[in-house]
Amino acid sequence: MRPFFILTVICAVIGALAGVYAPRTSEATIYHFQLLVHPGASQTLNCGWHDGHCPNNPSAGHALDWANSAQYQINWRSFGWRSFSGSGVIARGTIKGVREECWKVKVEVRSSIPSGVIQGVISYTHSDTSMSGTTFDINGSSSYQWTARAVGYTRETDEPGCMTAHHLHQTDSVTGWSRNSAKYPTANECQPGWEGCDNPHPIYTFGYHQTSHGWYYEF
Amino acid sequence: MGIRKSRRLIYWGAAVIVALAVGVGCFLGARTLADDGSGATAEPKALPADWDRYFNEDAQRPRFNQEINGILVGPTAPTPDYGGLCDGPDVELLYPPAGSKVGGDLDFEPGYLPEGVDAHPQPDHVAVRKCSGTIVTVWKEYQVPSKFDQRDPTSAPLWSGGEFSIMRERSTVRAFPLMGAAERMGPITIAGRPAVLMRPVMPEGVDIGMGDMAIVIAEDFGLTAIQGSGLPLSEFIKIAEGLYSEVGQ
Repeated sequence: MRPFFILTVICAVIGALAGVYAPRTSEATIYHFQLLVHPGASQTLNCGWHDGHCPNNPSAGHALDWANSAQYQINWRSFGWRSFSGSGVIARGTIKGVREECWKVKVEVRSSIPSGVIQGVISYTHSDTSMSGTTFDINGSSSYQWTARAVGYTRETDEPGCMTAHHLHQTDSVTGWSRNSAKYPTANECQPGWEGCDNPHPIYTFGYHQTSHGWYYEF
Repeated sequence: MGIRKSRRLIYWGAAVIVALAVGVGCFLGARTLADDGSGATAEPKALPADWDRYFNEDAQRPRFNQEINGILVGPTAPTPDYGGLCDGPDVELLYPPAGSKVGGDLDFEPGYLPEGVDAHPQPDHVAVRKCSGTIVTVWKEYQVPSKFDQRDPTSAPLWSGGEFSIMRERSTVRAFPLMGAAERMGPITIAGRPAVLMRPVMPEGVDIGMGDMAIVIAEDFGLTAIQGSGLPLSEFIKIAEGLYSEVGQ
């Protein structure tokens, strides 16, 4: 009787531990997504890659300065991609107007899959909005889909020290985002004849995004 | 003798089968308990699929300036009055290199940061405004990664992730522009100081930091403003209170 009891206890313990810690063996499905965010103002580049003020930290900065007159529109522009067929909403943008060290319009990008999870924040500095708190759909398809909409406007004035001439300073949340170095120069880098230094830039054309980000979800 | 032996074998076989059955039962039971979200492994409330509807409804609600706890907040509340320090040409907005100390009486290190938040903001995410040789603004921004139950990353997030900033400003007026619906704002006390809380939008009560929230605190020197998203409200309040712990001073 005693050996049977011991055997039963051992089986129970092993079974319970395996139940908690053993890996799930269900077959996984992985969906991939990518978002290419394009410049949101005019086609004229005022300053190449930098951080903070132009031309600070051109080696690592994710910001570009785009010419834009006071009160002129600031726009979300993107191509979205997903690995499965058809088209649909791959993320939602929430527009936020905030006063930080300068005035900014921010678009928080939250994925549809997984639902509501942050994928990044695009910041449009020296800007303001009357749409704070509203959301919009960011579309994607297996062959890339365009989304464009107004999110704010360039402010007439900004806080002390923020802006010397009207423009859009556009950047991203950096972590997990890649800048498109192939198409746009750093703040110090323009060489004669390089198309990246010519204006106007074809900012609506596929491939001329400013920054990009990818994510995936495993079921 | 042969019958006895085979009986013994049958008994042992039955015993092993019973023991294995108990083991399998424990395996399935433990797995179910580990998955059912009860007790210590409480499953977070799922975000409604149409979460954006709650934001767009909130965006339609009235916004107006109001004084709460002696602080004027609202969409057209005035920006800080630096007491004339920034009226002249001696105005600088600096973005110090990552990791460098800002210094001065407005500088701070958060006494509490939620798990996964890097205490050292990236370049471009720290700014200092200096007017007439005096620091009047210190601003730092922190990234908040999303957070899931590690045992089931396909479950609803515990934190949706985002970013928040902390800004301290020298000001002779206690006013700060906040764009949220007026009904989301109310009084709060942070470490004994009067403050304004702008609660986040919580779709169906889901508190994972989907919407913008803010805490504006009255200070002797002016104001501290904490703004952001990505975390439950309780974590956000802990960040504010952490500024007044020994580390945050």
